[in-house]
Amino acid sequence: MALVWPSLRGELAAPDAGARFEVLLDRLDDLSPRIEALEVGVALVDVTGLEPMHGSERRVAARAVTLADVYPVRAGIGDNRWLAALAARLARARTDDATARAACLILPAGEGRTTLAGLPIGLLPAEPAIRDRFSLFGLTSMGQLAGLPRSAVAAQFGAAGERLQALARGEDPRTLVPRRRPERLATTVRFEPPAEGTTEITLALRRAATGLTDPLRGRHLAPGRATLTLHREAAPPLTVSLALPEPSTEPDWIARLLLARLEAEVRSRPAADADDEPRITAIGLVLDRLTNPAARQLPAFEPQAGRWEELRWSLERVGARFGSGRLWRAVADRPTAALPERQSRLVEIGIENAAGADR
Amino acid sequence: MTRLHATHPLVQVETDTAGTPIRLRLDGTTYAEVGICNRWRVADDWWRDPVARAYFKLVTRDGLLCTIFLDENRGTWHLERIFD
Repeated sequence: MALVWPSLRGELAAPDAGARFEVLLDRLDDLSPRIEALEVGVALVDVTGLEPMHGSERRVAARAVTLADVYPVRAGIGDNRWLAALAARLARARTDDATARAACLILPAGEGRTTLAGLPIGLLPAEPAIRDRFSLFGLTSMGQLAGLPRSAVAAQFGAAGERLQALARGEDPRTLVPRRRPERLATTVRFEPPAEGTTEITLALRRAATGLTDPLRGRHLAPGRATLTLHREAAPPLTVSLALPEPSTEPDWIARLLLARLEAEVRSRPAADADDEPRITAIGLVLDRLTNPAARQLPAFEPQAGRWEELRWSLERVGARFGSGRLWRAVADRPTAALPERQSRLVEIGIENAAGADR
Repeated sequence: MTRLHATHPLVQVETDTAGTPIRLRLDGTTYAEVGICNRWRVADDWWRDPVARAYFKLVTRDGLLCTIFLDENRGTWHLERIFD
């Protein structure tokens, strides 16, 4: 079991720290099928049985460090989560290499108790009160605590003491709880020869959206976000991403919203660039943030609600096309307010988390 | 249909000794004969940013029906609503 501890801690205040750590977890998923995110910045990776694929434990750790990419990383490998966490905590970067961005420590398998024996007892995750009592009894190393009879430790320190003694002996019964990898569906449609007009792209996008959403409908899942990438001839790819107003398996609406967003994106670029549009060689569609949408039968039971839903999607589409600050809805939510200007307010119609946030 | 002016443009108002509007100047037009349809006061937000307004619903001889108010804190007259 390995613990990977990228030094994100200094950046935890950043609003995107969680999202960046998710990206790192996705990368670690490629290393091992069993990953647990302990908290933002700390990941537990089960490397058991990975030797035939990736080589020795040190190689696995090196690979994890590579996946962490830009972050300085402290990695630790041990038999269980306690030993892995302790190894990561004790890992120190090589002092002869000032540029080293990674530190790794491997506690040899099966030798946990021996290795811990000489370490200070202060490394155990003990309450301050228990820590004080350890020092009263003259216990300074983990080896001293590990060597005491279990019943004596239980009598003096209770259940917490027993647990700490197990840790001092290198034992940790807690198992890894693997995270469920967020599912994303992706497809690519290639054009030969490259497409020039929007008609071909529209049809291909609808077909791609249908291909991805049909199987989802059977699983009662719907995507909450769609990302469209245009691969262009002799030009960098153009990506638009949008959070859907609500999870939907309607391929037509998804395609329309994406095209509206794409249109807005193209219009926002400098005119000189728009004159000579490169041809499209392929489009990529990704659907993610899959959730189980609440079961609804609005058209059957409530035609008015069904029509409103349709109108809302249309307005979202118009909003996506013409940008923010163009469409507003009057909401009369305080009809009894004394001042007339406070009886109603204007709410912008548009898709929150517009393109850009996820690009 | 009415038009609510959220920005409350200033209007020029001439009052009698009791403070009741008798003449109104709006968009360059002076309305000399003004009839009062209704009047009321609104006092709100006294605990943070006090609002005190004396409202008048007016009708002119030309058929203009509107609501104006006197901002009692600033002493200015404002147009709030025009009824079509």
